[in-house]
Amino acid sequence: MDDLLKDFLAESTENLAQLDQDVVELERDPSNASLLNSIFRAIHTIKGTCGFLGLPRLETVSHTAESVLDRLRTGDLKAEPDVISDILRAVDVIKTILAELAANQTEPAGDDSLLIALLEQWLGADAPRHAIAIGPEAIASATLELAMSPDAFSAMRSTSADQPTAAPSSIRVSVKLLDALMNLAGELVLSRNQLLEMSSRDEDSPFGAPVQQLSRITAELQGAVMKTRMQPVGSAWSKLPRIVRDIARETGKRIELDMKGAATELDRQLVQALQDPLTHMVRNSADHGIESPDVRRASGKPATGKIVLNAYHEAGHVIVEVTDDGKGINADRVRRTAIERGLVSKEEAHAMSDCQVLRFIFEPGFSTATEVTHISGRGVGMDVVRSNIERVGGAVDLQSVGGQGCTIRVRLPLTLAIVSSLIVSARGETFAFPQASVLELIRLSEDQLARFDVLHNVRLFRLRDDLVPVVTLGDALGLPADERGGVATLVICQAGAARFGIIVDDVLDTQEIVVKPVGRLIRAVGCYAGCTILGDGRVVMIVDPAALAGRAGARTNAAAEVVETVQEPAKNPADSLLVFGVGDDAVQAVPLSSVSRLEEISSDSIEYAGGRAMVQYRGFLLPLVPASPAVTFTSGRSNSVIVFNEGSASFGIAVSEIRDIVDEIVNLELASTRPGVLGTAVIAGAATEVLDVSYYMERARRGSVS
Amino acid sequence: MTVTLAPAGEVVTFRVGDQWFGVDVMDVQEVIGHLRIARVPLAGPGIAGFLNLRGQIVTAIDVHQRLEISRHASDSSMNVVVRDGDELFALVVDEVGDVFAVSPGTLDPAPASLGGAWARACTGVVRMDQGLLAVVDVTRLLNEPNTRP
Repeated sequence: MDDLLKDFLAESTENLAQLDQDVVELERDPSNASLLNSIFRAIHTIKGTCGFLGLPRLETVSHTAESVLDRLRTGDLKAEPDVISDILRAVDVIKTILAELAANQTEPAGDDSLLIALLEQWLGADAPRHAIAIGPEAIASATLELAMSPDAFSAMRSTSADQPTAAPSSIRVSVKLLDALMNLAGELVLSRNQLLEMSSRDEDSPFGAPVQQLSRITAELQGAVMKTRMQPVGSAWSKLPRIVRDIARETGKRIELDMKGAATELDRQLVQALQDPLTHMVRNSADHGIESPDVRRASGKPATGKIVLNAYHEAGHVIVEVTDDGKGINADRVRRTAIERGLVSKEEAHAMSDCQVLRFIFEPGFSTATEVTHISGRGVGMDVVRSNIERVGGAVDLQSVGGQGCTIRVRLPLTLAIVSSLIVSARGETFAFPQASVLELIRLSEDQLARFDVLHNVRLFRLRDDLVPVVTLGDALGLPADERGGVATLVICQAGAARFGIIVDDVLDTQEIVVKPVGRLIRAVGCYAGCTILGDGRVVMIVDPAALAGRAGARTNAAAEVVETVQEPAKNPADSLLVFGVGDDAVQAVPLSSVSRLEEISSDSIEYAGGRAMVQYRGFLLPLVPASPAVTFTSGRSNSVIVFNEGSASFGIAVSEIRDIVDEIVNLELASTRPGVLGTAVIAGAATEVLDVSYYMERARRGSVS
Repeated sequence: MTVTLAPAGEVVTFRVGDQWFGVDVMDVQEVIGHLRIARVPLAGPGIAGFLNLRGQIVTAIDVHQRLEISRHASDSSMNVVVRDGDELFALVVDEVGDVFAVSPGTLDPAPASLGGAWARACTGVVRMDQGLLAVVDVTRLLNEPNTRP
């Protein structure tokens, strides 16, 4: 059965059950406005939906009944037994039609003119009471009309006999209750963990087996509770076939829409958040992507274009892909437009890979469509798609081969209630940062901590070519200073267009945390995005970096303005090098522009598969390649890893230590004797090997067969 | 000033410093022993922090600070968990006493000379053999305006 119809039936059946009671109650208590309103709403909802579904008979009956109810509502008419009887008659007819719909999926034929006449007598200008005296035979014939087909009758009976027909075997439960269940399940897990630990200390404990049993049940319970919030992603897709069909008709194209993985489940809120962006992307594909049949034939493609929606789970995320086999996006045209719009300099644009260039599509106001159709192409759109997806903690990326089509890949977290976060410490207290707003982490030595550039009381950090205002988390939160010396970590955050650094004492962990709202008394503080309970039961505040920066407010803004004017003369970014040590004394470097992030990764979190080292990183598997054989992963130690991004692929090069960032004109003085090394140059006074990143990329992709 | 209590007329009694207080038994969800309180930097005075009550975040109220009562070093802490609206709060107190039925005759209005937070939170006084029991209104105690914005 059509999903729409099924939903409608389920909803209406629910409403009608209440309706009978309400109407009878109304007769007893004619002045009860809220009762009347609820009856009116129920009928109104049915009427409204009928229009969409093309159910004229049901629409006429409910419309007329609604009009009578409206007069009751406005007080023109009094809720007397006669009028109530007529409304109940209308409710009966509505029920009959609904039962028939459930059984046959079509509206039964029938004549409601008598019922309509009965109802309409209440709509006259002066509302004559008992205007038409209805003879018994008229009533009998009206009742005759109500006689149902046997199918409908059995459908109605089976509904009451608790068989799944129109009303599926589901009940509505408030989200609040589900959240409470989720909380309790979480607590149960903590208690179970304590029990497990206790029973593991004593092998002969008689509690061993029951605790194991409890443990399994707890895990299942937690899983089941999580599932209650889930919805199949297909429910966001139901409108798409219609949209594609309409566009195809309007533009004279032939388009086939293929939907895979509709049963993939994710959080209900995310399904809703996905709906609009997805509609937009599919619309774009159909309107701009797929060519007309002639053009397709001319370029050797089948006349019918294909749009494929694919949803699947991957590493704790849900991936939704929209792929079309249309004309794709012309990277050169995007490059030109980007330069015209001043988004990027000519040189930069030409140095960028096609993949990077295509991401300009997600910039606000960016459209390469030469003609604007009413369907799409107004230049609003992909940026909205991106911001909608990012708002719920997702990411969107695009790949396209000119002439062969385009794939947009949306990655969403499974649930909104859980975010990935950075757990940090400051002055002995623990805090969480939402990972989404963290750009990078920089380890600061005692020296660096002591001498920041200071401009009008604002400390600034030289981040490559930028000066970034810096606040200390402990100070910003008013924590009493302690005498803790040594290194600290600078968390570079992005909030809107502003970048700033927050100094924390230590980065403890990255964790998926459950976000809980803070109470009303704390909300006023304003610099927390919520709080969470860590695995050991501790409550930890989630810092909202943007609000924290706003709190350090005037100062940060003032600083940002000044920085604009005092910025150092721009240097050619190609000459910035990241210098790192490998093994004992050897020094190597890579161009800084190719580096995406620096990470510290514990050796214990490194996994091996097929002879390749990798680590779980932001929900992806990040392949790791040692920079040289001298770099080893020693258990219990952490390793510095340089993360590179190329398109949607990432990989990491493990090094012994990160040394410095230097700006220097590189002259490769000695040609390379080893694969993966471009050559040797004198950098910062030391002979340094400059690595060929693409070689390591290949190795990461293929596995370490060198 | 009339003093309103639930029909049962019962209060949960607790001690803060040397003073005994009572809150309407209908406002109290439970009484729990000491729990670790996570401090919330920048939260106003009178807010002790958050505690984790079986997975639920509960805002802990430092009643000493709220009602400007000095703290003794020997005080141990107990939590009276109260519900206000949809939210749970824990009143961090020194000792929790019995549930006490207040008979109408023993309940006096709060003296007009009370100042500050006391004047706003205290709704009545019960004469008892050992001294006076101050009946406080949970909502007013929580909404004490002395929280820094």
